[in-house]
Amino acid sequence: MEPIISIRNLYKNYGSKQVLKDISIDIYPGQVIGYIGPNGAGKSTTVKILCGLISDFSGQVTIKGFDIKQNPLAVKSIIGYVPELAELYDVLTPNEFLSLVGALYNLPPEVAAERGKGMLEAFGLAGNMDQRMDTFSKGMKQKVLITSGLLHNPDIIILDEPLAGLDANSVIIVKELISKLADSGKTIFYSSHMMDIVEKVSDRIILINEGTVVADGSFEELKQKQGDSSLEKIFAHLTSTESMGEASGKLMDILGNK
Amino acid sequence: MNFFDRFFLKLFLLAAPGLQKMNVNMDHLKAILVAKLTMDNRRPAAFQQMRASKEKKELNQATLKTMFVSLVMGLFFLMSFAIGNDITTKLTFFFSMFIFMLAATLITDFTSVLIDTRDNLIILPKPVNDATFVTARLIHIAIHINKLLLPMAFPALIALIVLAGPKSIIPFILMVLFATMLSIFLVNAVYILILKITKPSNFQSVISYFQIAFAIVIYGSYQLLPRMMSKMGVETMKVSDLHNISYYPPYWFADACNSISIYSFETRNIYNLVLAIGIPLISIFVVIKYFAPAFTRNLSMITGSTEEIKIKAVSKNESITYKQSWIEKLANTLTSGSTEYMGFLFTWKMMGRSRDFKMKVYPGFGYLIVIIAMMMLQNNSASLADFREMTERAKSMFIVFLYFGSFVVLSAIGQLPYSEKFKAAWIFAITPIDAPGKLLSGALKSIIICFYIPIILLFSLFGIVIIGPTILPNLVLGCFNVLAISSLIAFMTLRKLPFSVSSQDASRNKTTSRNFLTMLVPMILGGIHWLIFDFKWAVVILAVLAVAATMMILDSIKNLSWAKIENFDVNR
Repeated sequence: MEPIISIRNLYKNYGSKQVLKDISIDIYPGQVIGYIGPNGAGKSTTVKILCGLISDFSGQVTIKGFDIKQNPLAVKSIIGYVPELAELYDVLTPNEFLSLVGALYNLPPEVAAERGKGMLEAFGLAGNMDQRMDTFSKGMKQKVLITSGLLHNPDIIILDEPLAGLDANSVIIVKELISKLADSGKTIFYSSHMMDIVEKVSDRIILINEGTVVADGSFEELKQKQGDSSLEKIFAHLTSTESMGEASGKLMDILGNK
Repeated sequence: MNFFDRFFLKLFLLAAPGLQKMNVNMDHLKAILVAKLTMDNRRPAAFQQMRASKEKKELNQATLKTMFVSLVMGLFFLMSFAIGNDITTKLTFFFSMFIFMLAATLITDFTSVLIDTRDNLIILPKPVNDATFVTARLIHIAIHINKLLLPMAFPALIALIVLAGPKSIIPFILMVLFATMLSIFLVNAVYILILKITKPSNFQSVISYFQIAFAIVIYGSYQLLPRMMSKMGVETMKVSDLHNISYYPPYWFADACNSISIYSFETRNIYNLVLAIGIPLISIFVVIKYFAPAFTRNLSMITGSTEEIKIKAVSKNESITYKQSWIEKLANTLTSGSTEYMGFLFTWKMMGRSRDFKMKVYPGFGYLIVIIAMMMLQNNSASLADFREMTERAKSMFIVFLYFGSFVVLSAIGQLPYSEKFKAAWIFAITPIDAPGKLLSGALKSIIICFYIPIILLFSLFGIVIIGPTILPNLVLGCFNVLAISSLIAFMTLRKLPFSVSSQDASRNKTTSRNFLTMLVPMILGGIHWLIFDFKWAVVILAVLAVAATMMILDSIKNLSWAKIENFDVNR
């Protein structure tokens, strides 16, 4: 099978600081990739490169056969991106925002309106479609963002911490949505810090640390290789120089507790 | 979107065939512009940002409001038609005001139009090509400028038609266009300059200083210009008689406009015409060729996270030595107990760093200077000799200056509870603070040190140098009267912890009666002081009383209990 996302020898510097060092990954249709790593490991840089937000990298990134540097627009139209931290124009209403997004993805206005309405209804936001989002809670904004990322029915969905601020019921909806999307052949790139969820939703986990891939495989494979029982432990094992127990012990000492 | 937005959008989209040739996607362009204009309509522009009133429903017509304010300014410009006895002179004054106001307005509220970093995450991941994105930005800016420009120039156009006949319409519109180009150049030059002298991350705060300065200049010119004009006898002046006037850009536009409409083309007119057209064209070329790219490069850094945070290397065995800064030492001497000490330092740091607070309080200083200047300019103002001898006139001015500082302090006290980060005030709710009054008294002392002490020190210096040490008792009395008033008003009105209330509530809670009260008390005390000014012993006794009163009130503030503090809801 042809990989839908192919990253070859990817390097990226910010000034003198090297954020990504020789990353090569092949991702196949229908995979749910859990992309994890500590703060500053290069996760969001990778995500931004895949979305076409950063173009001054070296190496080759092809998505569905399109080279991202040569054909950024073709790539962008098959990707749905859900950024973190509720980045949206919050003085607009969900309706207005989704019609903007729909137009930018070249959807006919009726289609965008219909899909947007249906999806927001499913998220329980039917009554808020014409309210300005500046009064929304984090979770409500996140639901609008997820809707905006899926509106054009993309082949690849890139999620950056998509569950932030969502209540337990919405988390279940999104988790099930992810596996259903994957079943229907969509590729999901899931970047997150929530190990327990990554462990459950993804069928392949890629762990990066200091700009390089340090582990790549299914949760079962990683468990066997590392001999740890949970993703959390595998993560700690591979990315931390000193043991967590030592650090928490130190913290206790400072407070004078034994 | 309202009528004007739709009109401008239609107007600019007339260029569609040309744009399509440049690879602009019209559907995308329209979608982006509709969204941007809708957002503008809901966002208050520079003028309204200066005021606290931000009630939600009003914001829907932000565009109309901005245009209305521009129209008022345009009417204000009509003042220029009262100056001089020829059209060129009148127009020179008009173009001076026009260029200044347009540039100043653009400098202060351009940022919201030009710098929306959310674009990076919302529009750029979508399949929108660069040509479309850049065109959308340019048209957005053009529409924004037009919304300011048309109402500003319209009254003058009517006045000109009345004065010089309809033949001046076309040259006037042309010259307004060129003057606008020059203003855009000025705005860009200022932006580039700011970026050169400061880090991009400081850009927004420098811009807010511009906003403060802008507010002061507007207030000042509103107060001072008419007075100065009547003093100078400008009704009959003629600018073309002035030396060096040909170096003054507004004069080029004025003269060019006039000479085209009356078909007078002497050497001097042609020279001005060439400058009026040539310089704006060159400057707009410079903007497009050099300024815009440099600006875009820095744009992402203005609020972006690309700047690296430098981590200070801490060696493991280094013992931590704590060094007090001067303000901490000062706080230590002025306060007692850790709550008051922290209240002082916290307020000090927040006042210095919160843009919101500065925007509300700092203009007060400027108004103070303007009012002092105004009194100096009055015909019957007191001279230095008057002050030396303390004539009646000098006495009144002395009292006014002495008590005026209280308005700055009072406005800072009024602003103290408000912050954009009001939610962070939960720390006061969960920490074991026995008397919140200690926080308040610390905060009040901080305000006094920051806003009053510099004024009174400067003023005392002036007083002692000019009048001599005999003025000291009066200075002490005035100073402590102001401190007592401020403390008393703080004691009576401060019912909220520092920086614990949403700034959006700032306008709602102020009642005019309270404002009036806070204005009245310093005036009454000032009046009493004026009456006893020359009775040395009365002044000394009252000064002692004022010092004691200040101490007592400050002490009572410290003892304010939780029962006196209005509940604050952290989760709002």
